[in-house]
Amino acid sequence: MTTGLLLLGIVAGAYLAARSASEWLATRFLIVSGAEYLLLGVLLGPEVSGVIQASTVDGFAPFLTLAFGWVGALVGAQFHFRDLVRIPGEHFRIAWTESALVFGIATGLTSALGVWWLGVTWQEMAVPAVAVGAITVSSAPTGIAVVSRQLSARGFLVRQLQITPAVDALVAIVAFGLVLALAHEAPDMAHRPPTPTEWAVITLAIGLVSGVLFHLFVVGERKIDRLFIALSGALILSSGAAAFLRLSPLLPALLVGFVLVNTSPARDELREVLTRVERPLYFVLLIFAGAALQVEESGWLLVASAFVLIRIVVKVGSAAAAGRAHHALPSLGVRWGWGLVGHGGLAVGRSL
Amino acid sequence: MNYRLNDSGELAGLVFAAAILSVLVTDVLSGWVVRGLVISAPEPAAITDAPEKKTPRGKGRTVAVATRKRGKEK
Repeated sequence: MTTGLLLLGIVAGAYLAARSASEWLATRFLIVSGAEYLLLGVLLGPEVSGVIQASTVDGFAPFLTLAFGWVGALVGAQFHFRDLVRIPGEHFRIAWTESALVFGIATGLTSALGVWWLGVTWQEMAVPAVAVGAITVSSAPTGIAVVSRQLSARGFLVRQLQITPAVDALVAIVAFGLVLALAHEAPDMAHRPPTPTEWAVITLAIGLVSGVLFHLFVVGERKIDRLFIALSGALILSSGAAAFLRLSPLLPALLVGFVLVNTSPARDELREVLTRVERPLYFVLLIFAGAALQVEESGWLLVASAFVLIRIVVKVGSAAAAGRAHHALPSLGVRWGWGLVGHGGLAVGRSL
Repeated sequence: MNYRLNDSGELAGLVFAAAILSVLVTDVLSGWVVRGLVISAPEPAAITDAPEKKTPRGKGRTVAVATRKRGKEK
């Protein structure tokens, strides 16, 4: 209980720091906040100081599920049809090519490395490889957001760097959600356990039904406070149901965000609510993620460092290949993939 | 290197550690990296299907009518 209270105090402190320091660091020094919260979590976790125990982190699992749901809904809310059709298709073609290349290369490489280096079979490696592919493909949109705000920058490259992380996040969340559904273990008590395809349908149905259901609550509602409550309810329901069934909470939440932003007339207010709460939730998620880090294997730092380096190479190379394939390198430059190297909390959320 | 994993939990732990290290390394400087890219970006030139810039309807019609009138006067 004391640890829980201490943790709440830390979270409150992080929230205040996020409100004051994060914006200042971003505008003045172009430093994207996030890593320091992760580091704080690692320092407080059982690996270093032991202030936060693993059981405490488990106790906050419902809160983490809500944070995942919030992140997923924010990704879904970016896909508003009327906004999307105004964007030149060239950007989407490049973004989809880059995402597909990174996901395919990362999944293939992980499978091969797992079999030859870590000593596991191809079958054992299939699900982790897709999960690693999903983690690898995601990019942080915060760097470009900070820069475009500071420089008031526009143009082909800036637009591309805004769209590609959204497509990356979509690919990552869908791939991760489906692989968790397809590799789902049959529950013991079920008379006839659902098939993998049925688990995938259940995952999608949770999101779509929650989105349609809560559309009725938010339709015609413009007040931010009421929208916040309705949105929280929708995300607690969808991500909670998914987590209870041992499915990914991100995919149903993405569908909730997608449905609500495309059906509600108050889409701007919905986006505002999602964006306003996202950063504090994200920082709390990072603290918990850092605290949950427990590695007992020797040589983990070598494997993790190899992953970081390979991811950077794959990202930059795939982005250059996608630009070349669509004849956009004269506008983007061959190094434009460096803008996608920032990893973001979505990756931590999925690996958690 | 004879690295062997005993169960899937160890693999998940490794993936988690790798993701944390990646965020720690790449996120902090992503603002500066993007800034460098944006500043040194080549001018946009290869947008093939960008929406065309259209003349406002009223303005174009006014100009067209005035041109026709001038033609008749001549």
